[in-house]
Amino acid sequence: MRLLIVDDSSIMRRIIEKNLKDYDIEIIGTAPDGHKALEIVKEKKPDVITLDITMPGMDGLACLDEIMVVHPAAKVMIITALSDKLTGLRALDKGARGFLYKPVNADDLANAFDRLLKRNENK
Amino acid sequence: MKILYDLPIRIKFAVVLIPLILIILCFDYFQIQHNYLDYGDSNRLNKTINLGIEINHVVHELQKERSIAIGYVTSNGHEFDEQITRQRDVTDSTLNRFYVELQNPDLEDVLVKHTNDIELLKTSFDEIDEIRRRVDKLSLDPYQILKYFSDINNVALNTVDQLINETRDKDVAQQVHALIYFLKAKERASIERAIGTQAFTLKAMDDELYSSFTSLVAEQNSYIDAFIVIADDDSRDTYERLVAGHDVDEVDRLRNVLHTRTNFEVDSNYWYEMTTNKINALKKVEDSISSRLLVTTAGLASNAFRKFWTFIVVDVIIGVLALWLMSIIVTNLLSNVKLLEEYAVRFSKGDFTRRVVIPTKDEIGHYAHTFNVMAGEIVKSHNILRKERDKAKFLYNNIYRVAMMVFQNIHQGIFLLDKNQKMSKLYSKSMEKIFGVNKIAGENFSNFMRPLIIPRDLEALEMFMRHLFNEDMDEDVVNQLNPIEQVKIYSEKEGLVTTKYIRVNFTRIWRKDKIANIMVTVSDETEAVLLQKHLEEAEKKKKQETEQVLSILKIDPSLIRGFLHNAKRTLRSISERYETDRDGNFKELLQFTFETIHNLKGNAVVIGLDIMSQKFHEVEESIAELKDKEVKGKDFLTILYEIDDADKMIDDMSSMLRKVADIYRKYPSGGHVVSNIMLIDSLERAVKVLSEKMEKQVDFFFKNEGNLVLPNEKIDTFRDIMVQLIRNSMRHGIEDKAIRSEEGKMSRGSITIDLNQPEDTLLEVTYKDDGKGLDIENIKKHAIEVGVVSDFEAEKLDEQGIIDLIYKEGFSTAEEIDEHAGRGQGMNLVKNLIEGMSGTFETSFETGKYFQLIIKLPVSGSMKEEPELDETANS
Repeated sequence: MRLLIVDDSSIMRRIIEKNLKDYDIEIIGTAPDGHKALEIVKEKKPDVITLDITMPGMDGLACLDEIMVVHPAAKVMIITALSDKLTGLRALDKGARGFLYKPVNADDLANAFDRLLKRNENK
Repeated sequence: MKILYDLPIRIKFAVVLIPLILIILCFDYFQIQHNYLDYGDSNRLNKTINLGIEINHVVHELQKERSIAIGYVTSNGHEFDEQITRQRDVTDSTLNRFYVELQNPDLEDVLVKHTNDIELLKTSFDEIDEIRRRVDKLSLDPYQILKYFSDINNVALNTVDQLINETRDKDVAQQVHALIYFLKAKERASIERAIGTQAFTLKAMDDELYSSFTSLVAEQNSYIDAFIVIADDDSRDTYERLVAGHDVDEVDRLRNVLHTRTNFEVDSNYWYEMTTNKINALKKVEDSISSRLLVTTAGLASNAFRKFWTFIVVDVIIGVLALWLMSIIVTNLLSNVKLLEEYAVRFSKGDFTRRVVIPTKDEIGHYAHTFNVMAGEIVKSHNILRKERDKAKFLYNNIYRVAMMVFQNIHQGIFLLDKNQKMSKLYSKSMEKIFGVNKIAGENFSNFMRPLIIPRDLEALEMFMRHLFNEDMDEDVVNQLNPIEQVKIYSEKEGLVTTKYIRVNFTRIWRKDKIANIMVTVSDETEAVLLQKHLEEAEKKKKQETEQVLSILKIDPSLIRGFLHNAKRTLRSISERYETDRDGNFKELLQFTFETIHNLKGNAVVIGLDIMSQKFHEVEESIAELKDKEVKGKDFLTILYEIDDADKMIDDMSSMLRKVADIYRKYPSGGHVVSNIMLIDSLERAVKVLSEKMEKQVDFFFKNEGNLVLPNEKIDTFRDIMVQLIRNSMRHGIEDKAIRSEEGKMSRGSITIDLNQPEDTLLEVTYKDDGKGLDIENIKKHAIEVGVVSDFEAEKLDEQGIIDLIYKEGFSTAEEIDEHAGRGQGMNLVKNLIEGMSGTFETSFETGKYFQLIIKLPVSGSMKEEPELDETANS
């Protein structure tokens, strides 16, 4: 499993990376905004992507649209501080398959990834 | 064909049997008719044979008469005279019998067919008299006689032939023909007799006669041969028995004699006698045949008649029997079928109490038996089913009752959603209570929630539901985004809009790999949320009260008291003005209110009573809102309401103030430390507030190196003194920032209070500011102006004396009165307060440097802090 972390906050990116240290997943890159994320997606085709919603430039939802165009097989997990449910539901509409509220801890992440990847095994 | 299959059984029977009966009836009808015809036929034949016999008798006698007549004529009347007369009588008697027979009424219908023949015969018989007359006159030759009589006989024989020659019975017909051949042969024999008689009488036979004779014999023989061939054995036997013997042989011999035409020496009478004997024998044969025919035909007729009636009777008997049997069978069959049908209907209606009883051992009987077995089996299965059903019902009822009990009493709203988001028929009673509606079952959930929540939540809910029903979406992920996990709903009931806080949770119910339903639980969290809010409010209020208390504690009680008193009065004056000025200029009134409130707010700010300044600020805001609008009378209501609210707050503060004072009174030694802290705080605040107000930056220092604690009863006085001093310093002592800079002083001024206890019985308080000190000349001038001292007396005073002037009553001017500077009592107040505590004071200063006042107060015992006592005081 190859993971791309997309978040405009470097602290947040580091937290996710750190929390996934013991989880069996290979982090192949991080991106601070939508544009950079898309470049990596096109280039490396990650299996799993964690995606922030609020980002400068291209936001998470727009980025999700683009990802689904260039790499529809990607499993996208939204990790956001936004408490607005409508935005989260829109992300599901657009193809996201996981959802987490910030702040995240190692357990939350592991559980969320377990759920996201278990479905992959079943399919 | 379909029509036939659909017919009722009764009609089916009819369809089969009626043609059969018709065929049998037709057949019988033909049989009966045939017998009847046979009967009629034989009867008729019998009668015609009777008539024919009479005719034959006539013919027989005519034959004799013919021969006699020929003999008579041939002998020219010499012979046969007697015989002829006798013979004519016999002939006539037979004729009479014929006529009598002809009158027989039975013959009427027979004769209708033969009228012409009979008429011809009667005409021929009528000719006999004429022939006889001419015979008597001898005017006829033998040939003529032969011809005439033969003609009559031919007619007669033909008539007989016609009469009897019609029968449908083959044997009878054959015998009739035999008889006719025999009659014809006998006629020939008779003619032979006549010709022979003539020949033996004349003793000659010409060629003509001879040829007639030979042909006659030939004809006679051939007729006899024909008769022998077709006659039955009886007739043949009779013939062979009767036509034999001497006379017959003699006739054969004499016939040979005549054939030879050489010897006619035979008496004609002998010939006549012989032939007549033979003919009589023939006649006997004829009679025998005739009588046997009569017997046969009569037998046939009676036979046919018997057959006719036998057929009818047997037909009727068989017909009746057949109909009877048929009706029994059909009735039995139909009644059985009907019985079966009746029970089938009974069973079909679920009535198994009775069994079909059909005693017959035919298929229907077997069927009825099977039917009963079947019914028994049905009843058995029925009972099993009923038991199972009762069990299931019992179980179901139990489960249902439990479910209903749960659903009726559970405090949560519970229901199921199907794929179309329809709400289940079964839902917990609480649903109605929570949502205040009864229309729940079958409603679309989104539509149900539509009037209750805001559009944005509704949009989210619809999206959420879609994902919830999507098997590919993880339930936990989706549930994280439940937009109505906790939501405020607005429901309108009887025009009253109520607000509730509900929690809605969704759980997927799987069947195989599909989501069959979503279970939804709804909890009413209104109470919890309201309680939370209530707690928050209480918290806020508590905080406010604490703030009030703190404010009160921090600030000089006399200041607060003064402020509260003033504020109360001012607010009352606003209300009064409203009362009197109700119809006045609202704009002006509003402006007045605003300014007044603004002023009050300013005063609250100055004494540091944040809670009040904040309140007045709110009132001010409300008024500001109205200022730009066209003001109406009712608009003031809100303001008055707010003012009233502020008024209440003032009352609260007052009571709080009293409570604080009470506490101080109750624990005179207790709250010393607290009071001291408060004292310092309030002094600090006074400095701060005044420095802001006067735009002078002043630092306040409170030195208490000995950690001395002022006794409670002295704190108020002490604070009043200090505040008065601070006020004076701020107003008169400490210079403006610019002046201080010019004079090379620190831009920030300072006020210092120092507590010391040099002796056990003495408290020394040093108040000092770094202001400009006292302006002796100015003081003197002011004192003279306000009339504290006269010009004269003033000139006599030294510096200390002039300084003392500031402590005189009336030195402080009225213009100094404001919320911060006190009520014009000034240093006089300070002096009075110190002296009230039996203290002394000492004023010193350096122009441009400082002002200092050292107060010495007598105290008893140590003023050191006593922690244990402090604890008790605070608890």
